[in-house]
Amino acid sequence: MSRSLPIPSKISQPFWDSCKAENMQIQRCEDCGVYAFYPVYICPECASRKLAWTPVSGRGAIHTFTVAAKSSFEIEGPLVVALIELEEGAMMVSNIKTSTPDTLSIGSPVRLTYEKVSDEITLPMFEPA
Amino acid sequence: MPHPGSEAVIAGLGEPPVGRLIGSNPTELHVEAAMLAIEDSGIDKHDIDGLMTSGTFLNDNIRHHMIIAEHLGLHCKTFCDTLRTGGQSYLNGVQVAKWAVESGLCKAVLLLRGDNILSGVPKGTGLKAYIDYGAHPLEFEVPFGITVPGVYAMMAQRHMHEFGTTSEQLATIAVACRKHASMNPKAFKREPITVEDVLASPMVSTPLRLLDCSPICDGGGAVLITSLERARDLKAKPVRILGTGQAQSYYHLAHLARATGARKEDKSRYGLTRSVQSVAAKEAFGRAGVKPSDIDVAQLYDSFTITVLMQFEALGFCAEGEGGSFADGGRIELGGELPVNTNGGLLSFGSSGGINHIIEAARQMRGECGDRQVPDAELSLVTNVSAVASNHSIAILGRD
Repeated sequence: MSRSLPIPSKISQPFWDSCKAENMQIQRCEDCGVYAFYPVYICPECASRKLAWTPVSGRGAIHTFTVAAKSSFEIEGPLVVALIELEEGAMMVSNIKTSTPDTLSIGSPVRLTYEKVSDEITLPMFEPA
Repeated sequence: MPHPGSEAVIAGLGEPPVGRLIGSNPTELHVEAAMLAIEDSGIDKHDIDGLMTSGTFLNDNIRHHMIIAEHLGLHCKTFCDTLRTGGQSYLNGVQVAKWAVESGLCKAVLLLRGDNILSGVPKGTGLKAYIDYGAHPLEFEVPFGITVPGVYAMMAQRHMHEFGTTSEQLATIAVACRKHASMNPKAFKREPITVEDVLASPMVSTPLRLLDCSPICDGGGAVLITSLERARDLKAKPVRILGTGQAQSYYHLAHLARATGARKEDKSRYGLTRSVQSVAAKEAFGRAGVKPSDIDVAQLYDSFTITVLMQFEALGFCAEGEGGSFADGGRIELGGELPVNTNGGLLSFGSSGGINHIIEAARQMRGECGDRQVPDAELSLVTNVSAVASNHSIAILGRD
């Protein structure tokens, strides 16, 4: 089985475009300042409609992670699925690219990297910082 | 409070075999479960005017409830629907059925489950079928290789980090379930296991090993709910539904972990290891007028060992972070302070979805569990959990 790829929607297209450009942007609420992810129509915290696509620093930390004994698709190296807390406060599920998953721990810093998986889709990934 | 006699009770139970039921199909399992409950209760089928089913994994239909109604010959229903909250559908259904009976909308409601997710899904195609089923967030999680065990593994990893919970403590839950299943001739997995066996079983997704995960299994179940007045004229001993509660949050892990959208002052109450089940618990205990220490036996939804461990805390059986030590020392085995999953649970009895937990909880109140019966049990708690521990329902049952 190959990696199943996202199908961008109207609301998420800017996010996937920013990943393709290797300059990931997520939505920031112009009223309350909260960074939202996944892409949304209103701020989930204050219900403002004023959301602006904003570049992220690319710095984050591991909130939690798991190393799959067997990856459900073919990849190089171990499949580490992680929930990443971005410096901006938003969280996202991604992979951590490492050949030594035993050295990972919750709270450790990671930095954003990218992996082009098709002409249309580049996935945001992370590596130990 | 409903007037005396109109209180909704569980008046019939049906449980087809579980395991690898080669040649079975979901419709047949629904009908078999329904017939067993009808025979158990002795109800005239024409008196059943409410029906809830929960769809099927393969070849699902948005009007699944209508397909089953026709197979059962249930002509005119005043309430009929398909529940869509996965493994949590069944206790959700108990609450809805209770409302339907107590409001006078229905005389008797049948709640059904039946599926052949073991024998019906060709080997090696389960994960793809699960992705196609659309139960997981396709755009932002599935591309990174998320799996059901993987999600619960991430919760376990977080729980270990926050509270020092150990793999040994998780394993004691699997061991207790297997011990109970070994006393249950109907159970799918009956060979006793030890903590060492669990720790030696193959890693699935760190830190969860094979024996931390419930096996996929065919099976089904039926629960009949009617008024106490009507139930007292039927064959089976009525089981009271003293309190129910529900709470649902989100499916995406990021939203669960951040408690997205919750009031600022409430956010710290929730997280990956702190689900909204505590809200459902407060409601169920409040309605029943009892407290956690009053409960004699519990059937806790156990898709994974960590699913159970987190519930000890959310339900108030122990303080936050103490779920691991609560599981230790035989406390949750028969003969212990709080016997858990006396039929063996999903981890060892088998089946899928939460209906078998409800059936066992009710049987404990009917005093019909044989070797597994908790002596003089008066209060039985049951939970259903689904969707990454985000959907929760609870019922507290009592004897008539």
